[in-house]
Amino acid sequence: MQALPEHLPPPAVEFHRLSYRYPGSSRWALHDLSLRILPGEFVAVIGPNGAGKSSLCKSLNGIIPHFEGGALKGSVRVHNRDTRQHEVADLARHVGLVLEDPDAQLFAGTVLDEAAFGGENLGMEPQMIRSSVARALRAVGLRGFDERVPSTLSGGQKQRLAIASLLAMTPSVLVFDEATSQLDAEGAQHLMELVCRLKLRYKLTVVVATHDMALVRAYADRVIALEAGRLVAFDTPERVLSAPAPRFSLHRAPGEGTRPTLDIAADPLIDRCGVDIRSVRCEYPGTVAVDDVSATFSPGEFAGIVGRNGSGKTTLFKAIVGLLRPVAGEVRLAGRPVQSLDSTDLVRRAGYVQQNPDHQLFADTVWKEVAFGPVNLGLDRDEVEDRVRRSLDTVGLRDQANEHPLALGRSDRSLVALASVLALESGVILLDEPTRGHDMAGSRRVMEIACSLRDAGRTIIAIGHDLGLLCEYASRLVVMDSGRIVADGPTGEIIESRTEVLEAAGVLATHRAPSERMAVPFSDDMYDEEQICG
Amino acid sequence: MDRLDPRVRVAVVILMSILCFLLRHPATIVAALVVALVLWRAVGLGWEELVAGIRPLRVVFVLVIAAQGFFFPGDTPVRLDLPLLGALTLPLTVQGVSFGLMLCLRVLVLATTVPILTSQTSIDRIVLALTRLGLPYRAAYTVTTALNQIPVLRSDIATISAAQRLRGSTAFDRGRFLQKLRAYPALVVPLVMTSMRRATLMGVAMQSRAFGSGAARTSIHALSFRRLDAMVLAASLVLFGVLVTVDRVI
Amino acid sequence: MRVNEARDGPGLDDEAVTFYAGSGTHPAVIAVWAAIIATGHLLPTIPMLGISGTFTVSVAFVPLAGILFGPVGGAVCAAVGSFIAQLIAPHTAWLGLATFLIATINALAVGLITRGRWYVSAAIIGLGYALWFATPIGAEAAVFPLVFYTAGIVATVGGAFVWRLLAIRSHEAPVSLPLTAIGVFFASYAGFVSAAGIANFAGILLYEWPATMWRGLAVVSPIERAIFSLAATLIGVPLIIGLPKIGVRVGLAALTALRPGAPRRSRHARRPRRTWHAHERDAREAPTRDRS
Repeated sequence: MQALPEHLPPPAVEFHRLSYRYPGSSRWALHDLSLRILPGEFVAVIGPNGAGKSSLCKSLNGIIPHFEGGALKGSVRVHNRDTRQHEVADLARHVGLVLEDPDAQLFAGTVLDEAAFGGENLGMEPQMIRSSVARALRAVGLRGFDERVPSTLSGGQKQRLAIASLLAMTPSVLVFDEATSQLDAEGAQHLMELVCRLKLRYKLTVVVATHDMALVRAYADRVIALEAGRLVAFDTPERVLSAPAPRFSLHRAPGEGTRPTLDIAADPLIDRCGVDIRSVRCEYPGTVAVDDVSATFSPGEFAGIVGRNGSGKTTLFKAIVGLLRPVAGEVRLAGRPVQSLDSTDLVRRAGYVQQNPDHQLFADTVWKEVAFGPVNLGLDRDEVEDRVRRSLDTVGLRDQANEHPLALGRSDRSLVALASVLALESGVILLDEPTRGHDMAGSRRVMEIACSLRDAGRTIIAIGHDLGLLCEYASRLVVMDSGRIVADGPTGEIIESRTEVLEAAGVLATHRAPSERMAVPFSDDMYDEEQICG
Repeated sequence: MDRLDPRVRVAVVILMSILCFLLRHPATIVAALVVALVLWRAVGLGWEELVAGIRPLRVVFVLVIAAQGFFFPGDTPVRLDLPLLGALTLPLTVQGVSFGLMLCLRVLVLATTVPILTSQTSIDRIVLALTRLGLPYRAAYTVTTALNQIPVLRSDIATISAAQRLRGSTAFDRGRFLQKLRAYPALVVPLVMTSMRRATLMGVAMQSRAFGSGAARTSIHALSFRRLDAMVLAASLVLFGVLVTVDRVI
Repeated sequence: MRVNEARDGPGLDDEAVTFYAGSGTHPAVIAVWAAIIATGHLLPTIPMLGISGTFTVSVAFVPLAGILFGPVGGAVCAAVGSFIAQLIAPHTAWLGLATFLIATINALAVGLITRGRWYVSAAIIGLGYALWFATPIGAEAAVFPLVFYTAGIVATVGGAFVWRLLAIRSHEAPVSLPLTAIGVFFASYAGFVSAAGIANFAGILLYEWPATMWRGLAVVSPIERAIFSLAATLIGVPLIIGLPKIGVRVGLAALTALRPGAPRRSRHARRPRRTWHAHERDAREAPTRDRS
């Protein structure tokens, strides 16, 4: 690798032909990565699921290879420290890693103790820890939260706490492994604005792995694009995201799937089912979650519901499937009130696909997993086999029928969960955030499956956080805010003429480029041709 | 009381627990109960909490009194004079019933120990106390981490049982014993798998915060053993000794 | 979505350095299992006869802790889990503060059996015998331990045998399902009996349950514990198979690591204890040095 031009500072992070393989795996998670990140840069890491974004993040602070094990070739140097020769604890003082799941980063009884966790582990002196922690909590906006119990915080607050606990260790590099994926649009925006401010104040180098292209465009100085563990591009966002190179499986035109989506003609076997919500009001102890909501959804319709966290979307879904009894009003499925249906009738009318597929997978083969529903309905053997086969064909997992569901990747597990609900052959399908955690290709596939189900005559209602994606596929948009429906109509119309409503509901929150950036003088000299794999 | 070193609280509660196994005379047991109630109020617990704590023990108390009433060696049967039904002789002995009552009081004292330990003191201080008493900190952090994960698990359980119910699995509401047993994996396996997945991430997060670095670990809390602590500890030991001796003597 | 297999260039493997993640289970995994034990009472209860009336799944998770994490990890896990359960529901602490020790002994015994040191577990049951006959009530109701604790000894020996077989065969994938199920059942049963030995002694001391009751329980307790062990087996076997698939190396997968010759420690073995000042000194000198 050629030496950097002299006017540039020594690199904060330097990968030299890094290849890594997880223990027990035969494929290389990272293959021959070479790149340099300058101090003060904001670098985004993009790529499909399984491309190696997490592995790259974990190799920055020594988790790979020391904590994960496995085979490593090449090297990673952070501020001139070789990660192969420094323990994770040593590197922790220089590199902080924030993970995707806010609940996986809580260890102590109070916010103060949580923020002090790192300092205590390092053996810092108590006075120093206290002042460091106080500063960090102030910097992330959690001043005054000292005695709060971490598990009572919101998702965004938990992520801030995680950042604070890392800041208290005074790192110079912060790494975010999809840290905004589980937050709503507003939360993600606020978190990233915070990260930018911290970057400026503490002169940090920031590495963010993400699926969110708006984030990338707004904040990133440069973008690392990975595919199958290899580096395919490392350049400014404008150049990377607009390149028409076919190897970027990031921006696929709608309709181009990797699997054949079954052409389902309107299926006469499906009991068409409409959803009729009449003045429903749902309450939890102390709060009104859904307030006087009315809406009707017809068979063959694909509707999207958007709104910030806590606006009542999931509560509404629960009321539709009878998990929650409204204190006022009622929901009717195909004309009959939900509360009067027994469980078999209910399941035949409405199917609910939850956000996290791992919340329902338990069988040891995909086939048995999908068959669980039909078996519970008491159907005979042939009918069960029929349904399982049809569902697996719809989602395109026929070949994986005998695999253990947990051994599959995240996207495939979601499809298994979807298939197991489809096997119930309900008239109404409720999708709760079906694209969260998926890469672009995975998200589009789910949307296309939903469209084909709609074409077959089912009623599809989807809660979504990605407004752009919903706009492409859903013909109707329902906007919720504080438990009420504030807009309901054809998608195009609402996007164009009701922007103030969307904004108030927190749905339009999007990443905007910061006004102030730390000037990182770079030029095309840094763009090393050798870094791209041929 | 809340300014006391938590180690003293741990010691006091342990002493109380041992007392419950040793004392046999009603007088000393009542004395111990009085001390327990004093401590109960001293840590800021109220009478409603006491009643709430006792209520689940009702069944046990009844069983104990009945069992001792039947089987304890004694010869004076229990006679009740009820207003309408006249004199009623129960197949229980007075000695048995009073023995049973004494046992119940002991259990009551024992039941006060755990809330006395935890009231008005944060779990971190208790964990720190245990660490200073010799618990390795890796085990200590297991306690606080587990506490933090309990609300997460609660919501996971709710979500999972909703998901399985919506796939037609209703065994939990109205199934027979064997049906329930067979439907359990559908509830437990997803719960364990999601939790364990999260646990591996937590391991990464802990290591990323230099957990297990081998450096001498410090704490932002300071436990200071002051004169007040020593006095309370000494008083507890003395009281313990007195009660045990009196019990033997009577 | 299958990702393209990276094609290895010639010689790529030869130059790769293999690192070994530390053996043993991370406290985070143990903490989460402990939380599962503590929240087990939120799962639906199953009504049944016997001294408990109904039982929750928590009882099944305790011996599984011993199987998955070994004697030390399992004991810590069960201790933390049931200690927290006591905090949440103080009325279940029928031995007061010490109630959590019962689950601890359970998981400890199970862990010992599955990791080859079954004789310690048998000694715990032996202690149970001794403590029993030391009490006047116990001496009257000798039939109880003769039936119940002896069943435990049988389960201990049987379980140890099965687990030794499993350890030897652990490098064969897939592992035998029936054998694992029998192993889990026996080990759990032995664990329950070991714990019961101490628990019953404490129960006699505290509650003075009469001998007649114990004679009746001589039939009920073995069956009750058998049902608990069955629950542990039904829940445990899919987990023992499934957990390694998500990368959690516990249970049988951990046994593989114990085979002679398997590397144990991280390539960079434990460093001597260092203070913060040493770190600071390092930080100042770092730009010119590679190694710490």
